[in-house]
Amino acid sequence: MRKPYVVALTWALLLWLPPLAGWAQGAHPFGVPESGGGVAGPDWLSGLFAQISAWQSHFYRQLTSAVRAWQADGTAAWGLLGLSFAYGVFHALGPGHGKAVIASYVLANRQTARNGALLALLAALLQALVAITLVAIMAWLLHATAPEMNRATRWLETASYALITLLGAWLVWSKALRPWLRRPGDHHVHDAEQGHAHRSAHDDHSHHETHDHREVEGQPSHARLSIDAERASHVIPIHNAHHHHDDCGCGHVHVPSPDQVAGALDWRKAMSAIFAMGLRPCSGALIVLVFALSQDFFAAGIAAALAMGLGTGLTVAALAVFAVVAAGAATRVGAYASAVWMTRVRVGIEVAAAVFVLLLGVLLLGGQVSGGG
Amino acid sequence: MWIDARARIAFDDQGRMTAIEQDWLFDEMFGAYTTQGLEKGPDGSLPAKTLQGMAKDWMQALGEPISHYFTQASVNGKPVKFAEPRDAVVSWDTKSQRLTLSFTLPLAQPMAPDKQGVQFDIYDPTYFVAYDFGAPGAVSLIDAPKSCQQSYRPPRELDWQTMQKLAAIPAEAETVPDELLAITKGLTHRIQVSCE
Repeated sequence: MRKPYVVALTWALLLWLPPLAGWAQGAHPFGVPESGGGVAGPDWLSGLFAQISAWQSHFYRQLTSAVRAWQADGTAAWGLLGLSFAYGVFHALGPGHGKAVIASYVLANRQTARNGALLALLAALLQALVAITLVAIMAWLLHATAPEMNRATRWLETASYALITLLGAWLVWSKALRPWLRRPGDHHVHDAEQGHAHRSAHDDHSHHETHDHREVEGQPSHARLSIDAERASHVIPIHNAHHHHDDCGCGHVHVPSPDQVAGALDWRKAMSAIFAMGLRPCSGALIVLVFALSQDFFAAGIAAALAMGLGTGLTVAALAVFAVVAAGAATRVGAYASAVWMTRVRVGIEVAAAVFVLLLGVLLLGGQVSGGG
Repeated sequence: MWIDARARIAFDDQGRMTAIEQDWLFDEMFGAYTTQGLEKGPDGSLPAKTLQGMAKDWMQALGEPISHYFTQASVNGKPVKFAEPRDAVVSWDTKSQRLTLSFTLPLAQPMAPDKQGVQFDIYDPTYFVAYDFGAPGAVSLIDAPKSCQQSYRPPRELDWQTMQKLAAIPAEAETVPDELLAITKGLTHRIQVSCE
């Protein structure tokens, strides 16, 4: 049973590598809305990306003839749709920040796999719609040039990065800082409360608490957080009975058990994640749209962009589901040690995901502002 | 994006290699994207000034050290220095709707390749551009001594087994086993020129 967990964790790590490795910014030499600057990172990773790009190019190369085939024969749409879908899949597998943002958001908020998949699909749909709208307005109505369209794309990109930064800041605040700041107070009450909830809870508890202090010396915030989480996990049943909410202000990290996680999505919050990923159109979609327009067959471009979006969306959805499963697996691995460790791992994942989104946003935005071009 | 590429290695009258000349024929979608919104003549042609501007912009961007014209040269793994590029020209084929960039990249010092030869590696480090040197005669030698020959090797395809091996290496591992490193290094278009 252990081995699948290890595999799942390894892949979960891989999911976060691409954006970190590929964040180097700068315009591509040929003036296409694609960031250049090379993929930093270990050799095997650039090898992996090279192969993914090779497959992507393989589908890209056939897009022109597929557009023409459809134009010549009104029923031959499937070729273009299939190629665009495949292009979208490989686009999602290559370096890019979108999937990391969605997956981290899902982890930080303890979303269900279903919600994660839904978020990913909606973000990819938005991405396709942004590309279609951008080309319709700039190329079709305004007859913009390539540099003008690149500038517009860059603005959208900057907005997307700014949103990621804001989203990250909000996640860090609500997942790490706020719970930590609200912490002082209540502990005696909790200790008293948890007394009857667990058989040997007290012994276990104090043991882990001392252990904790030794281990994380110099990192008081983490130590406190884990202890809080641990307390919270003990007292959940009681709190539940009182119908407390996230912002009940009772001074601890509120960690609901999996069955308590809401099945419905909080749209107000989810929209920020969807826009953060979906605002920046992918260059492949822009290029096929402009090409279709030049062939007086814009409809084919719209269909191709949507098919690309579906390919990207389903791939990111799969990765998001994977992230949820991997986090669940990690939590269970923690559970082998103790219930305390289970919560500790859980909170650790959420905080790490929140910090990651903020870090990614800052890096991307910083690169954008200083990178010029 | 896709580039159908041709490369010519030029020699001087003393049998020394002096430069690599390349023609990059861009794909049609890139042509449509890049020429959108530009003033075109009645026959669909682009003004010479526009094309010159394109050549200038691209060469300037490609000249950044990180790209270096997507072209490297080496002898026994040691990099060979290039001089500044010249003769950069962009042309627009109204019929095929495709742009071509041609340029010459001279070696800093002319050199006579020996048996081990000189290796040219052509690739986009971001892998956004995919090159194709597959056309017949896409790689050739100009005025080379009879004893010289060239060979071309496309980027290696990684099979699934190799990919899994690569993925199995922990993220924090800085070094990659030698045989895998060789594979990842085999991802360029390599032209080898050697003389007896």
